[in-house]
Amino acid sequence: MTVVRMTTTVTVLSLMIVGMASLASAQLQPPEFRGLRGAPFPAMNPPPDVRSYGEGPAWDGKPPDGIQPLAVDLFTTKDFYKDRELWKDPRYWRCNAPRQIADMRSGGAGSSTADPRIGSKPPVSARWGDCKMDWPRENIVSPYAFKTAKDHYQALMADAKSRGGPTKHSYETMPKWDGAYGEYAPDGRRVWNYSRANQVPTMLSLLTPEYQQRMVQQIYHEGVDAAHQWSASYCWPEGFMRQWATGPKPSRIIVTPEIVTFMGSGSGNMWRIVHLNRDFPLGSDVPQWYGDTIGFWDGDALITWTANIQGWNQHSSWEWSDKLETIEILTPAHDAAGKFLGIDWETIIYDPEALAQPVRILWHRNYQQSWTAAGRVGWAECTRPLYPINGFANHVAPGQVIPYRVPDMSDRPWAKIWEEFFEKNMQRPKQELNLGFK
Amino acid sequence: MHIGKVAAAGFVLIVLWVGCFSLPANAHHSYAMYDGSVYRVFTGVIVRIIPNAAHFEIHFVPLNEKRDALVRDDKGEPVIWVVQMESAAQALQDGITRESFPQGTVFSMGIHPLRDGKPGGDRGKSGLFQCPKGSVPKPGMHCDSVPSHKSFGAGVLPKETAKPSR
Repeated sequence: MTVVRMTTTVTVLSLMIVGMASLASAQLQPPEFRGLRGAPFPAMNPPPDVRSYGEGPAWDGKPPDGIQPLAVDLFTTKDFYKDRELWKDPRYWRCNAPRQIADMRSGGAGSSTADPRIGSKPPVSARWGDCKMDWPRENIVSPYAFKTAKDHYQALMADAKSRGGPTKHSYETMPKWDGAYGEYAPDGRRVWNYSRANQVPTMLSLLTPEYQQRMVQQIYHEGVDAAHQWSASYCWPEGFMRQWATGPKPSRIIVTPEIVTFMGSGSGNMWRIVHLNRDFPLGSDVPQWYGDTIGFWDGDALITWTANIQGWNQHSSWEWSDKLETIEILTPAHDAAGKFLGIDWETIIYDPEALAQPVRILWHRNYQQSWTAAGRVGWAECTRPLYPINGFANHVAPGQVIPYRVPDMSDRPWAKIWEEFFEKNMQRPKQELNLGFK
Repeated sequence: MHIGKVAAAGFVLIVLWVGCFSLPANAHHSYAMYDGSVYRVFTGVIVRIIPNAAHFEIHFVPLNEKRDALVRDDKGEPVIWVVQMESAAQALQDGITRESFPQGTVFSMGIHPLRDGKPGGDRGKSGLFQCPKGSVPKPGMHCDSVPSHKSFGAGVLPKETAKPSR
């Protein structure tokens, strides 16, 4: 009897493991159209987070075995602007990923900790990350030869036409994607844009010099000064790229023959409409926080091009410009039995002002349930922000009176706060307003 | 009689057309903070066009009377004015875009100033005139006096009813 039970248990476990393996292998593997979409990743995607090298006070400021610390690093420098050559060395960052540095004094967003990684003598006691961990840059840069989103979109369109496309779906034939979706994060692994999987120099290598400096400025003030200027703190917009991090994500989908709608809510609201079989411009030349999107069906794959995006910032990571455009290819994934699992979502990001070359993200949105089964979609109307007090985002009790400098929302308001309160003794490269008159 | 019917039908069509296609104002706030009895006329330099504000905005720095320098505050910083425009749709229809008004563009317009004296106002019904690239008006003059100037939308520069304090 015992033998039968054990055999049954082992068999069930084996089936579960086989089933899970089958499920996992069906995702994040969209079909490859060589040179256009679906290129396989050279390494495991999504990547693991960079680990902390040691936990607890004994590791305060202590480098990993065999690592020679730099004489000056992020946590000891008097002026990070002067250290541009050192930015390329992971030791300057104590081998921490950008988000690890942002979380030096907390347990992450929304949680405090009794054992902050900044250590007992901030900031010089900041702890180290694992210098051996870094997702290869080759996994991030676009594997496609296109220089612009427009060229990429036109090539995808030409390819679809060569096979009789684009596909014109009716209500009867259109992919049945309507419903609620979550983020597929196997073993807790998330896409690189969370800024948890890379050494800082690898991230910086993706950026143009000006945007490298902007990212360094942000990492420094989050990690060293604990002066986080996160958009949601101030009821500022989250912005386009925050979909691929901890901002509002496309968690609901509605499909019709004319449009496909992506919706999400969280720290803000995200609402994007793919206008099928249309051309740009969709409207007047007013930048949109989530851009304007056109697209077409290529069989059961949805191919989109998004432009006219408002340039903005994502905390603990890189800023983007008004020139950012994306190509997104959404391909359904099914298990061996044909059950719809969700959508492999490949995004190629073009931004000639911010990015040294185009980059790519491939994630999977796993189908969770129908609209009927899912709860309501919340609408986050931000009315109770924090306020910048002496450069720090702080709660302010009702009735208190505070000094408040009106931010210029079109000119990096987060940076203006850092520059006013924390950079007085630094030699920041001059960026004066030049209107052509004295 | 027949002519009367045609005229009446035409009038109805015009009313319908105006009703259907005129651009909505989409006001998001009261204009009580602006002094509608006062016009100040500026020639200044564009800092930034903000097309996606609740109302279209122009940020600019006025030029001095000689039209050869920016107006600056006591610390020597340029004094930036914010002008509340019409709806973004109307402004864009008038050709006022980020491309047509890049930073450094010299232009002239009238505004109803803020009652509290802060550097801001609303356009009212003022005309908006752009000087040709690289040119400025003669001292005390505005872009509508410069040959080959461009106008954006209807209206003329209003008569100034209060002198700029600086």
